[in-house]
Amino acid sequence: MEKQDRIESWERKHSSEISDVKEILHTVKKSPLAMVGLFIVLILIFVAIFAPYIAPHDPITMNLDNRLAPPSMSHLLGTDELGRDILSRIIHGAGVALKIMIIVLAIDLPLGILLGLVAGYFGGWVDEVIMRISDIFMAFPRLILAMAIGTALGPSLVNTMIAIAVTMWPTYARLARAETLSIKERTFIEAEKALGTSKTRILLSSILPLCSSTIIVRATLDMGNVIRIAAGMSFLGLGAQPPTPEWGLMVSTGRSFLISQWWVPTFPGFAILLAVFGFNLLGDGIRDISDPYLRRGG
Amino acid sequence: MVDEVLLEIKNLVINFYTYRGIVRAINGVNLKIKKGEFFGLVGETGCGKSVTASAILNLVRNPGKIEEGEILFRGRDILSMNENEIRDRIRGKEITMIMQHPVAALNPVVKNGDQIAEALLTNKKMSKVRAKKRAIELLKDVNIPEPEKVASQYPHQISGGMAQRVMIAMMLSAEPSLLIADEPTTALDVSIQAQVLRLLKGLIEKRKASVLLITHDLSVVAETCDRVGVMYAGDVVEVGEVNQIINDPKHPYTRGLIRAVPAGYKKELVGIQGNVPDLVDPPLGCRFHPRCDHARKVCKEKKPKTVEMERDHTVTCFLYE
Amino acid sequence: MAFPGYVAKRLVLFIVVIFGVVTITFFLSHVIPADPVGAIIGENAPQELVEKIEKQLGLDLPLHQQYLRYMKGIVHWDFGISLRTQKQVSADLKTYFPATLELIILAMLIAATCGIGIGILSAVKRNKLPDSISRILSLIGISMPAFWLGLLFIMILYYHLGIIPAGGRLSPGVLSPPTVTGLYTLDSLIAGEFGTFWDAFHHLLGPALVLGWIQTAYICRVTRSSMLEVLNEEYIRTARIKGLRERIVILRHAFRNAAIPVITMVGISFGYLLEGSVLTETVFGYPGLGRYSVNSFLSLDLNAVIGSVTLIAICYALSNLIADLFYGFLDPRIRY
Repeated sequence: MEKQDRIESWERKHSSEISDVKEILHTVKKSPLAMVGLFIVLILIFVAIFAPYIAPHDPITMNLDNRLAPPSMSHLLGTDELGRDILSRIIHGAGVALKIMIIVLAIDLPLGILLGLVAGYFGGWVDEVIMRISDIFMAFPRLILAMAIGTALGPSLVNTMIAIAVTMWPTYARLARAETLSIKERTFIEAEKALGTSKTRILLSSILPLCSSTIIVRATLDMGNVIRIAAGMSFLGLGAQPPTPEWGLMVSTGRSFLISQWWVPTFPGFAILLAVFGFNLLGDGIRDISDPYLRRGG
Repeated sequence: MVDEVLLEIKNLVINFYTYRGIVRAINGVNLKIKKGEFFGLVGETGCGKSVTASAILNLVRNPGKIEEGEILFRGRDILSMNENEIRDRIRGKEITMIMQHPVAALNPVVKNGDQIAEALLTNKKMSKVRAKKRAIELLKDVNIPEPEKVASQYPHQISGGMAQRVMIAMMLSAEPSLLIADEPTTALDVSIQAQVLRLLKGLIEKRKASVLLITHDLSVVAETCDRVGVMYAGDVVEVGEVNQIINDPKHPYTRGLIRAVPAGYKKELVGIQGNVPDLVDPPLGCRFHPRCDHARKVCKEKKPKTVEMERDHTVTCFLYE
Repeated sequence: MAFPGYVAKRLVLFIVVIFGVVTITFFLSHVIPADPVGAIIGENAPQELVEKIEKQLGLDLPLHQQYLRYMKGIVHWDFGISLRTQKQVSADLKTYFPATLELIILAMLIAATCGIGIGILSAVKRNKLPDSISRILSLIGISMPAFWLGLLFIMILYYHLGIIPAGGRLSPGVLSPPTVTGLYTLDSLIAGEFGTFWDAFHHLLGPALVLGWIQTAYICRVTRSSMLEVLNEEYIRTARIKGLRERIVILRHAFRNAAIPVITMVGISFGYLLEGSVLTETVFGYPGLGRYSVNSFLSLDLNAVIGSVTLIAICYALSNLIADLFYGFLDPRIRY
């Protein structure tokens, strides 16, 4: 009896978020594009989590007798320059990609939402300062800034993730600020103020949830770009280090074998394309349906 | 008043194929507009008035589709003409239209005067220089102060009322026989409304053209129109001269509309019970029957025929069949 | 009076941003684990020599004085000497920047013409076959990792088809044309050396096609969505009611309005292309600013890092500024 009550009260308390999620799922169902994108993303997550069980071979163990073998029945995508099975490495690479996404989101979402919320709600010089700082960060091309920070921190996967997170917070902060500004004007906020609710309470319990859901969705859909930039960093040598099975790194180390053993750099690159494509497809599909202009018959 | 029929809509059926299903927007509409008359088409939002207007110019686009019917303009069916002919002969020349949001209806990156000149150059033979001059003359005709200034400005720099006058100038520039006015004053301030309507009426009378005035506001109709058609949920339910409709409405819906207009001595607001039907799944038979006090068994099963009660006064209701 | 205000505000912002960029670069360079002294005289030099070099480089000064020295250097466009090339960094930049500029201009031409054309077509024929194909292709385009596409191009176009050459700006043995702009294609045309022109163009093809394809995808998408939004506006209906031909409606009424965000995108594209040149030049072995900056980072060549990052950031901010100004100029609602 008590458990049921608790569930019901939780549902009631979070009813707006629940309906948000329901709405998003409903939107996704309507668009075949979004469905395919969602499918790809779910496969990516599934493969990432269950990699150790799915991968036919160990991704790290070298087998110098079987270097650079072309695709065959035992090695569906061939082996790389150290004899490792490429398919297994790609599968584990999904796990690496997932880790990257999670860490970047974990840093950027709180940071971006907090700053955007504060800037949007309090306005004035706080807003100006935060916006100018984000302008300055956005004045660097993302990759260049990530490279600079990555170099400063030292080449490693973790540092790349931090570097990418640092380049992306301004985007989310701006989004959060825009959302906050529009929510701020809504009448129910006026009502709360009239009731005498404290500023912090309004901020935290009314504005924050509404603002967050949009940002979370947008940020998640942006993960495709994160994967691509991370791969670029690894390709240049600033990101993941050997023997980590990161896709960008695999393309980089396989580069010298491009001509004669094309499968070594090609397949990992294709994995990057597929993953980014999935996220973009999902994002496009959702945007297509929820944007009223694009929805009208035309 | 000349009795010659300028435009006749026969049995127009239009469907919209949407995500939610097939919207049966226009259900067999019949209408006649005579030469030189001010015809009002009244009805609530969503009853199909604007769609009918688009159909006259054959501008119904995806997801809408004209399923059947004829629209005879001077005896020729517009719907069976090919696109080039309609574009070159009818649109802008014989039949034009002004709409509800005049500022939005003007191209934001082109100067006002140039937009009027464009209409002139497309529909009449004249030089660019002459077109620009004529545009300013037309702006004077519609009572715009400082017409040269307004002509050199952009749409966002002028008010709604002025923009509507610019639209009127543009749409009357080629001297059309029929001007369709789709809720032209609904989005304007009440004080401007009267001005614009009076202007319109004056200009039309001078040119002896016809106007199809679409509105949901009965008072506007009473002020300006010669004849009125009442639409409900995709059907034309009653047509007649304006005093016939106002003083002797026959159709239950028309009666409801007249009753609903607040008058000085009335103490309460009288509405029409019920709601406008969802046209994806419209009521069978007469579409008004769920809200009608006089509904009978036959109203739920069959569509009523149109009956002529007296000269030029027609009703579509089983009460009169 | 709105437009001059708009311009002034943007210019002030630009200056503030450049200032901030330069400052951040300064702090970043002090965090990068490079040993500037050791790089010059080796790791085992005697202490007095180390201190002497430190004094020379100004490393013994307090931070804010170092900052002023640094700022003074930047204003004079002096970044010191590159450890890798042993030349003045500013001279290196002068050598490599035109190469990247040439590449970006070519890529931009490809992207703008193809992207806008396909975007308009896609919007007009919405949901029909050409639209679906272009949408999928452009989605693939923006999902594609540039370095991988570059490798594919090298494999197919260079190795299998022999259409593009191995690398560099000119084939070995071909002399660069007399310098007028630094752009080999332009300079060789000016000097009338058509053979050189072809060779230079040939070498630009590979990286320009990679950058161009990806940028075409972005521009195509923006054009398409902008056109779709505009085509639903009331004034398009007005244009049709006036009896205008469909082509005029699409071009003079729809595109004139849709063009505003598109041209802004084109302006921003210069920045994106600059960023893309980093990976593309590395893959193709094209000696431009992108490759120079990567090598500087990898070898912890501090002065070169500061120089190339500063130049790139200034160009990026400049392209955003110009895009903003264009936007303000093209939209009468802002201009008046």
